[in-house]
Amino acid sequence: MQFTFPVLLATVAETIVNHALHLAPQSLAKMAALSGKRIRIEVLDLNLNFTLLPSHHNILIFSSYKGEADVCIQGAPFSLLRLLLQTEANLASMPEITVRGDLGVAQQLQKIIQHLEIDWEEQFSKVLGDVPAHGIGSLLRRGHQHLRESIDSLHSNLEDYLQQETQQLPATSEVDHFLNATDHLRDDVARLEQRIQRLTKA
Amino acid sequence: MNESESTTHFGFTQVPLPEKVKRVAQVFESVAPHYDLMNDLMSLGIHRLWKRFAIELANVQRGQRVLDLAGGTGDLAAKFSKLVGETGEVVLADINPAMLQQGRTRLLNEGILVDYAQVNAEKLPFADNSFDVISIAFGLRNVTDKSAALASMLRVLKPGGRVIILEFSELQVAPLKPLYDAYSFKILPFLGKLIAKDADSYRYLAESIRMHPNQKTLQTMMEQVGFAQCNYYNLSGGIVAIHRGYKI
Repeated sequence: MQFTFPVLLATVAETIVNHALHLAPQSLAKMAALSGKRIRIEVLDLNLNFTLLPSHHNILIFSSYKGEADVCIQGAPFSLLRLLLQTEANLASMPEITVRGDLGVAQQLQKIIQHLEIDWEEQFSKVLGDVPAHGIGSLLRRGHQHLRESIDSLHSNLEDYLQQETQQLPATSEVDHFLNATDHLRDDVARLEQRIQRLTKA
Repeated sequence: MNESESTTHFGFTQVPLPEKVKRVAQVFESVAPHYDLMNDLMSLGIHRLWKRFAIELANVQRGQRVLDLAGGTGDLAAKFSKLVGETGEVVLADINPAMLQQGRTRLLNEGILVDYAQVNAEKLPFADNSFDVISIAFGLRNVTDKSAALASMLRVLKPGGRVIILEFSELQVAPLKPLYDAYSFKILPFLGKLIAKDADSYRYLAESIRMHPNQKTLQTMMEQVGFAQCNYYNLSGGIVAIHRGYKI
């Protein structure tokens, strides 16, 4: 069946996103503001498109929804991935991503996904009760803070060492430049292909 | 009327026509409280994917009217209600009050508002040309007169509307048939006995699958009552098929 893979992908994505959202009640509450909206994400080159339907208690993801969407976000796979994963990325600073329709809706959704904060204390309290869960939560938060600082420091030192000292890895800006250049090259090839087709027909 | 006309199949046994409705009602009253759990166990959760395919094929738009026949515990209706939005309408319909009550309780608990109707699919109590989409998932095989049900659906569909039929069908992978039979007639009743304390009802479910028209036959039946552009999609090797037809 032609659309088996996209439907499977949409179902898996929906399960993961909803699971994460239910562990993060604050993000879920923010999602309620988008209830009733339809957000389409078109992944260029892979010929995939997903439509997201947020509501106050979950989000549905469809792979072949043909109805009208409130906003359509279109981009190459790497650009879309960067938009989702990098906390400093935003729609306005990414000209390689095309947004049609209500930009505000797209920005709200992007913020919710980027700042998904899972409330572990709430999860523990369901099993252990509020008081022990708060103790464990505080301990975990302090431990997490310490761990994060240590990891950040290690990450920064390792990054400097690999990028500057041994020059085994490229710098972030070089990677960004490479990804942009790849996107440009693909566009150029697509344009060239069209041109060749036009010239062949002429 | 001769004997063959006045009886119909209930699983592998022949019963008088009015008897089938009563017996099917008994089966579903018995399985209703465990219906979702049993579906998950019986299909290893794959029924959710089958339903997902059906919803994608239904292509429901904002503001449309959708009738979810044999809607049972409301799996499809819940998603349809999100797709039609506030301007649309979803009617969850089932002939069995116990199943309808299960669906109603579940959807209300999830904060989903749809309309409910206890209806006989053979004689739908709705005006002509009143729905954009009609779906019937795992329900048609329990209907006594399938052609009458298809004709009734065609009548209440709007021109341009479509019907989506998700139903067990004929396995297309011949080497797997012995395995599938063993699963249907041995493991399924055993699971039914274990979980729902009712092996007979689940034996009926397995038998009714075998008695249901196969992919081609159902497509022909749809065309005969007047559906246009009928086609079908096999899922999981034909264990389940989705038929789609349009009213033109």
